[in-house]
Amino acid sequence: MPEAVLQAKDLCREYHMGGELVRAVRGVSLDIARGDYIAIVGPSGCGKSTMLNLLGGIDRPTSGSVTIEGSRIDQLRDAEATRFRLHHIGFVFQRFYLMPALTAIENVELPMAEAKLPAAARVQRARELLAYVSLSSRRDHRPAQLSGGEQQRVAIARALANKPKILLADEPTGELDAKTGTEMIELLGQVNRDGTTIIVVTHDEDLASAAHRVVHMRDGVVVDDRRQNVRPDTERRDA
Amino acid sequence: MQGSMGHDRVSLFMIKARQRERVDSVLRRIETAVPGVSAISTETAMRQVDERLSYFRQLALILGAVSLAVGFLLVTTLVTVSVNERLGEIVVMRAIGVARSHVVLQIVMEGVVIMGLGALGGLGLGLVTARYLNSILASFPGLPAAIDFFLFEPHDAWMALGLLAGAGMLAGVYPSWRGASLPIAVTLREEAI
Repeated sequence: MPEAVLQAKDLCREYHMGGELVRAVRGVSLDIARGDYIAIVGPSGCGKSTMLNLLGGIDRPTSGSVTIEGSRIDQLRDAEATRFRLHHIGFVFQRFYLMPALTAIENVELPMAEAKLPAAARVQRARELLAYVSLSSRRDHRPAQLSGGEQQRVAIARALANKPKILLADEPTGELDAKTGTEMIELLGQVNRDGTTIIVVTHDEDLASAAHRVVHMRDGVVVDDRRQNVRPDTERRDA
Repeated sequence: MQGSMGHDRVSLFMIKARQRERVDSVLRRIETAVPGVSAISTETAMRQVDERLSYFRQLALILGAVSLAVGFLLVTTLVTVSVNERLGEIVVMRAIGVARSHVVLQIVMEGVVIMGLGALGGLGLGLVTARYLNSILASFPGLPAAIDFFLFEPHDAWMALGLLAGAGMLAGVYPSWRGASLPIAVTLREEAI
């Protein structure tokens, strides 16, 4: 098996909601190989988004550990975890969450500016990334001037800005129509083929079918974890 | 001098003593020589004017402090509303690796800009109002034409701008720190609902 880029061991996440204890994730362990493409699927409320948050270090497990490239991210202090995410993890969200006051290229530059990349270098890389997601012509547009699919492409470019090893996406096609969703699936496939490990949480069967490995969750536990043969992009929506 | 006073036409005479040290003796001699006349030195006159103006200064200070407090509360409210409307963006900035201090700084600067724009507008409005009031007061009969009731002091204007910028900064600190300290995962979950 290829080297593991991410290891989760006995992850548990409990929280109180409305006076009741919610056990969102219950003892999940996962080893994720470098360059892999994983889809976490399951019914609403099964704990898959919580699992993604724990893997990305934006939530802390009640118990268990998350190790990314040798670093126990569950033990990092808040500022250290923020710094770690900046350099090692890219995030894509269902609602895009671009900064409305910034143009597409400025949104892509944001993580690089935070990483203190020189201005000329970050403009150059932001241009390359926008070309990579086929949005060169829209780089000076603000999010409100872009379609949902275009905003999600900018979000993917932003997520790749600091060359992360891992890209985490929570329902990346959730707000897109079928055609734009297919384009997004193709783009994520391309990102993975170019070397980035991808973990997506999705209800979208087409997106899940593009992954190399599908992890099924139910009631906070993994009920199925299997590798699959990936269908070519063109067959998916027609199937 | 007495002749003029007999016609009740003159209310003020200014007399210059040859030597500063002799002012007190000159005052005493005048008051002795002309009953009913009050003789005071320039220093005393200035002090009396200053005492009378101190009421206006205190009033201006109170009005200024109230304006500053209202501005502070207004900017705090504006920044709080702005932060609450953008919780998703703020926690996503944290999620993608933007340091909390940088998020806070960005939001605080928005407060400073709001306060700065308000301060510049207020300063301009104050200058226009002062000029208008000055023209009304200066047109009162019997006043010298060159007298100014409101003087623009650049030092005071800079101090007011600095105070307002500082207040804008302070007003933004709490709401921005609160927004930037929210738990990322919980906030994203709540935003998704």
